[in-house]
Amino acid sequence: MLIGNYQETYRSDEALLRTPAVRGWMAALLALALLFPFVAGDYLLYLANLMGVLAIAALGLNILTGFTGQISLGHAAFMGVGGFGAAFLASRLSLPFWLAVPAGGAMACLAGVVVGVPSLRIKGLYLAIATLAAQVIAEWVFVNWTSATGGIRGLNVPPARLLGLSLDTDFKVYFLVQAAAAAHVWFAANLLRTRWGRAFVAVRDRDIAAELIGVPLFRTKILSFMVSSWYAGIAGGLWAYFVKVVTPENFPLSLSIQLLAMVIVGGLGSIKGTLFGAAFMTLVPEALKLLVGALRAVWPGAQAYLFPMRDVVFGALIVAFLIFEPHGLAEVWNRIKRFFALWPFEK
Amino acid sequence: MDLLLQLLASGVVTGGIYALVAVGFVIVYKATGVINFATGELMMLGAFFAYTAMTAARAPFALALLLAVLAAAGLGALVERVVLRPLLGQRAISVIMVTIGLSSIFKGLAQMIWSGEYRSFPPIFPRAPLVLGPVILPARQVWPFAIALLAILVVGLGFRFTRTGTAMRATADDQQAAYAMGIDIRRVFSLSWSLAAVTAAVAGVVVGTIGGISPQLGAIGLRMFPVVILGGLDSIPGALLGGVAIGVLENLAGGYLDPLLEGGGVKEVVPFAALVAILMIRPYGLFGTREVERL
Amino acid sequence: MAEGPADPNDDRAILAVETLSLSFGGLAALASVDLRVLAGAITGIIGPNGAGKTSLLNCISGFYRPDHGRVLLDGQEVTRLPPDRRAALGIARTFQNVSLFEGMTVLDNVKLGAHARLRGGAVSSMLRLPWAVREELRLREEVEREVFDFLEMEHLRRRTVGSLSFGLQKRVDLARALAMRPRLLLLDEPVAGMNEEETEDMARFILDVQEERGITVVLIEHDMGVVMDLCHRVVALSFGEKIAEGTPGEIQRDPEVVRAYLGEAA
Repeated sequence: MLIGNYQETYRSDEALLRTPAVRGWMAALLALALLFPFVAGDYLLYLANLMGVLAIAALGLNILTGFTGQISLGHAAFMGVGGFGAAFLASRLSLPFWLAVPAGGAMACLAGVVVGVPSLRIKGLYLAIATLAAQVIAEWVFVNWTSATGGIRGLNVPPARLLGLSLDTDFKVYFLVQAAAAAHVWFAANLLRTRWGRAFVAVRDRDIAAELIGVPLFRTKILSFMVSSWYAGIAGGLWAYFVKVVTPENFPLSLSIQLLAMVIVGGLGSIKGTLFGAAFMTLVPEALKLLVGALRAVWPGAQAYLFPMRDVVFGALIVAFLIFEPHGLAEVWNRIKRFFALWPFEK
Repeated sequence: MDLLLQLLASGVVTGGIYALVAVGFVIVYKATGVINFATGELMMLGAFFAYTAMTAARAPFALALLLAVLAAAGLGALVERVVLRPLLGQRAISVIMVTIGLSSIFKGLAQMIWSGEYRSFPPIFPRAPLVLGPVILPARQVWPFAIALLAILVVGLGFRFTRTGTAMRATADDQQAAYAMGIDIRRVFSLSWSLAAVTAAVAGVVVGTIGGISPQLGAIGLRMFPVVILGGLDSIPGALLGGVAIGVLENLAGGYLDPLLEGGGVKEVVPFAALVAILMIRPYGLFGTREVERL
Repeated sequence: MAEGPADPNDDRAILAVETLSLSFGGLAALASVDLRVLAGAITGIIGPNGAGKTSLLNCISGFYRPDHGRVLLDGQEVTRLPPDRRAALGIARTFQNVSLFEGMTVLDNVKLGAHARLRGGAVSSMLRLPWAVREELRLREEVEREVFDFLEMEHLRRRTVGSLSFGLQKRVDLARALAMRPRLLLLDEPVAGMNEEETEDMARFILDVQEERGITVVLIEHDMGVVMDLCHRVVALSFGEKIAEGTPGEIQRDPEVVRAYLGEAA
């Protein structure tokens, strides 16, 4: 049972991991993540990589939507900008991946500024619709700007090379993706508990009061768009190296919605919730696939229902979480933690 | 010149259908502050209701349409009661996402019930096309357009001249005051959703008779956004005008620009480019009301 | 009555409002109001409901743009500046019904007051570069020393604002304004809705702010006891016009003021 938390200096009170227990759990988690690829098969590695990439994008979306309160229905488009950007630089200009991916992120960042500028004048639902328009327009550009994106056929991406090593299998990509994901979680945690992170939440909760105490609204919103689309762009670039090809079909509106679903299910305005959400929403369709596979023995027609069932379950999860667990899996986690923190004195 | 007239004419036809859906969309927004991402799926379900009545029960078209309207009204009320009401007063993101969730559920269910394949309605309307000088409008466009116009008229008159319509307008105008006057706000919310589902269903049937139906029909719902943004989210005259304007715009863009581009899709993207332009120039659309900020 | 500014002959105005007019759809909220606020003093603005007091404050802090007239801070015109720029120049305010960020802790609310004074960029924060870390730590120490200690609220720092009583929330509101290190502090009904003990505490804090920090205070208040006790000068508004100005004693005897409060019949 945890009784209290005493800190002797402001430095330790302001630290990210404030107690020895938290630091211990973090170390254990890290060890587990390093061991995982050596025991997991290809399928699990593929899933882990997918989750890692989507977690980065969802984290970016949560910074914008969950923390700053600006709804984006265009995050797949930002991923696309990063993905096509990195793929173009890698395949046409032979840039190494450690330059191509950040450069893709920077391009997405610029796209974020362009989409964010209207937030000066338009708010709430109107802004959400503006980002929807950005998504539709970006998809069209991906298809039609053939000289840069390869059109419908897309671009092939050579495997990433690091220290003479070619990252051509899911096993090798795992380390790249997870390191990037871990770094971006750390960046987000640092940002959100300091100056601009506080400003994000202030703008979300009471924009007028925020402005009156000296938080510049426009700069804060644009910054949030930039950070958020950087995350999406990096995710898009990693995606390119992970699946080895980018096409316009990789970044549809439905992916934007999937990212939003991760944020809702995980918990708006929670970093750890975003990770839960990304993992959960990636695993659910896989679990359904397994279920349908098992059902085929007794019901041969089950396969035809897999895709529609995915739609139904996906929608039902969003609706159910919004109604019954609006703070998402993060809140569920906190409840479990509180239970054990007080256990066995209170049930 | 003939091409231009032809494009304008079919633009107006499409626009009439858009206007019908947009009216329902705007009614829900005015009454409850929700923008409905499941509009397209409500259209699709309405179309399937009518289709099923005609094929499985061999109902005549008029009866099938009536049945679809009743079913849609019930569905709208159910959706409001079960899904929207618990989220009353929640953040915009929650309300947006819940309608997106609904659209996914509807799409999946429709595919489970009716399968993903494409179907067309049995022949319904007389075949003779309408000839207006150089413009020839095929019957399968003229009749649906007439139905859409009739539906708009009915909704508009009901809104204007019935007690319930007055209550709905009063609620949209000032919820607090309407409540104080003894208007049952919950009933108004529920009716708004029913009405939106009904206008969507009629439009869905109309669209279905023109081009056939499948669970993918719901994708058309996205096109409502340029329409309602152009007119202003909370303006019914705006919805009518926006519908026609966007219908004409996308037909012109499709007719003149699409052949020039290999990848195509101009028809779909131009309305959204217009949407962005409108937001930059008039953030609240042509007729929408500007929100007043308070401390 | 409280002690006056250090030098009574110092008539340097930190804030000047000139012929300020504001109307909402034809209804005049402020009609050509002139106001000079002496540096280092506490100035009270009184008037019946709807007299335009909060509108005046909103024009000074930048939430409203006046139709005519100017607002000058230290002789520099700020009439066209957005609110966040005015805050950065040293105008801080509190709110009638508190306008705090309810989901955040007291500590984060107060730190937000210092936003405009900080220099840290997003990238250096994300990477936890040494200067970014130092700035945040310095801010924490500053907030503890200048604000929490001063307003006797160390025990509240990790509490969520929404869980505090209204009286304490008003104190957090003041704390957030102090964290801005303002030169001019605008208080919109600082003791409204408070019980007697909370009112006394708040009055003491306001005096301390003026005496120890030398911050110029402008306050709107309905509680005449507080106004008469704290203010060096009082300005009375009625229907958007300034009807009187003077020491608390003069204002109390002013026939115009008496009539404004009691109505024409009196």
